[in-house]
Amino acid sequence: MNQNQEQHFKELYQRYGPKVQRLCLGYTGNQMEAEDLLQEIFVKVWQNLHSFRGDSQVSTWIYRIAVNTCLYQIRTTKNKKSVDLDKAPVLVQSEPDTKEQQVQLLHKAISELKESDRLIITLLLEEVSYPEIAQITEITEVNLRVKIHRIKQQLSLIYAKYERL
Amino acid sequence: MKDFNDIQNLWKEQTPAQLPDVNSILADAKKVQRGLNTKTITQVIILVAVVIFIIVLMNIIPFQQVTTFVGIGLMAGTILLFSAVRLYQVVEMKKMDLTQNPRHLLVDLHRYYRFQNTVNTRYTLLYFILMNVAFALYFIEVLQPVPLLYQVIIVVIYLAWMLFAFLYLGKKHKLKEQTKTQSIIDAIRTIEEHYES
Repeated sequence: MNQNQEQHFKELYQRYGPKVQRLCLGYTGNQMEAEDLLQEIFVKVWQNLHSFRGDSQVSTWIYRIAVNTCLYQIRTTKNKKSVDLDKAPVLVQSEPDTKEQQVQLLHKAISELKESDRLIITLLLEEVSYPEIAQITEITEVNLRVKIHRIKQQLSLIYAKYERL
Repeated sequence: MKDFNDIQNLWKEQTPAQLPDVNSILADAKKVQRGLNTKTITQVIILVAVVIFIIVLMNIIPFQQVTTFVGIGLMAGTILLFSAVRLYQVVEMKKMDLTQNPRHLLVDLHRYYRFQNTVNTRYTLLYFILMNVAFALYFIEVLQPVPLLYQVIIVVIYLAWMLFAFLYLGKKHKLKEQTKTQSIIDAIRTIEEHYES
């Protein structure tokens, strides 16, 4: 790998690192795990950078590596959660009055979604366009729209439930 | 109740977390690449070392009986085959393409872990059986000059160790591995279903 590639990698990291970091945080709901994932994703970006032929946008390529790395990290079913609002644990005792608390609640709410849904909704929150999400996840745009509609409803419901607790 | 736009605004307003230093990521990437290569090379070296050791052993000790040669050959073959399977697993895992589409990745992961499950159960059992047959054949000649009492002691110790290894250690390890692998397979299957639905 030459200096140019290192420079290119650094630029990609500065540009997409924060977005990927938030995607990981949305997926794991945990800062430490998100950081580990971020590192792993950019290690993969570096390893595959020479084979990127520009068939898709570089952002699509990086997000796909991110989504796959998140899925690849499946080690146990311990962190697999299903949406069951009645059984949702009380996570915040006080009113979520500060922005920070509200953001924490949001991460908790996202972590209650199915794995694939967490990734899709986080991409959407990052304002990735529908066609690009469809390209990253290889879900048809029509199916994606249906899915997103359902996930949005679920997320709003879970978030509202947590807010009331 | 917040609608999705409120949620999206909240998402945008979150305090950006500190991004790890790019140079440490680069250093990690280079280290990982070196580590993977070293692991594969080490496994290959071990395989070659086993073959060399067995060839040397057969030349140093003047064995007479065919059973001994068959036993040693079977041991070598079994170790080689099992190590080759393990090496194949490392290579397959390394080959997993994280730039392909997620559905294909999930299919690959599913196939990989199913194979791992087979290795941890059936192949490991086959390895154990073949190694014991090999040792039994090897003992026929090796234990011949040993007094009967020592023969009995050696065989009892060997059997006790093998039974302990198989019935306790092996089963414990197998159960742990199988449970872990099965949970991963189940998780992948669930995600596959989510993608399809």
